[in-house]
Amino acid sequence: MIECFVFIISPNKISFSKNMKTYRMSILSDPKKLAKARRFVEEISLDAGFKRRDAHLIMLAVDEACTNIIRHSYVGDTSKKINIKVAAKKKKGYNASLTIKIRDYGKKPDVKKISGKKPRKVKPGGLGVYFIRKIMDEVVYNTGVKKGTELTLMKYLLQ
Amino acid sequence: MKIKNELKNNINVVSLSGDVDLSNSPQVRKVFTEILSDKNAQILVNLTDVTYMDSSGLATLIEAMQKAYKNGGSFRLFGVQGAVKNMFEIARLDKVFTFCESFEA
Repeated sequence: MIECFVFIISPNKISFSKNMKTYRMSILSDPKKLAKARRFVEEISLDAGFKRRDAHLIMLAVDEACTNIIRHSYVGDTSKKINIKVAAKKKKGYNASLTIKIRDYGKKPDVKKISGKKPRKVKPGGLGVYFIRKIMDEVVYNTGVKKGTELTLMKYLLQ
Repeated sequence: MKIKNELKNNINVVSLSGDVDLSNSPQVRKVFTEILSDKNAQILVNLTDVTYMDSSGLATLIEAMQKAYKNGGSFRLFGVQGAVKNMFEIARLDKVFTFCESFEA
């Protein structure tokens, strides 16, 4: 019998440790590159055991985080770098988790002003951070890094 | 992403397909702005073939809906499903928009 292994998440760096897979990718701060980041996160989420609906939502949270970086940290400059690192922990019969670190090297946000509350009035805009906080279990902005920000998003899968 | 705008029985049917995100939501906004230059514009947005939408796409829909109502027109959505439906549920906007079940409604 011939066994065949197909690795769907091919263009990115992957490393393995016990029960943990770590994936890395970089995109330019160009809105046209957002689809690439979305597919990357969606495939990892599905591979880690999340259902399609949750994988869609995790993908939305990452998309919104990258959109905010493009708009606010790099102020529309499409030539800058966004690094995404995903650590997927998977254990049969137990739970799985995703730790997503999104790193930029642009303008630091004022974390106190990032509320993530749903806007009281229905208005265009202001929903991105609300989506991130609503979807993910933990959201941590680290502006203590030398340049830019490291955003950590955590999502747990309880089986 | 593709945008198709057709006038059917005095209703502007705007059909979107593919992913709607920051890279193309300004194009969608432009189409709505043109339609909304006519007062009382009746708009039906067909989202059947939209595979993904982010908050910039949603913001575009909210803005167009508010302008349409302000001008005395109408703004309805059709075919919300999959990833787009998930986003509407998270945003709890199901009572804000008017949804219709058929193209002719």
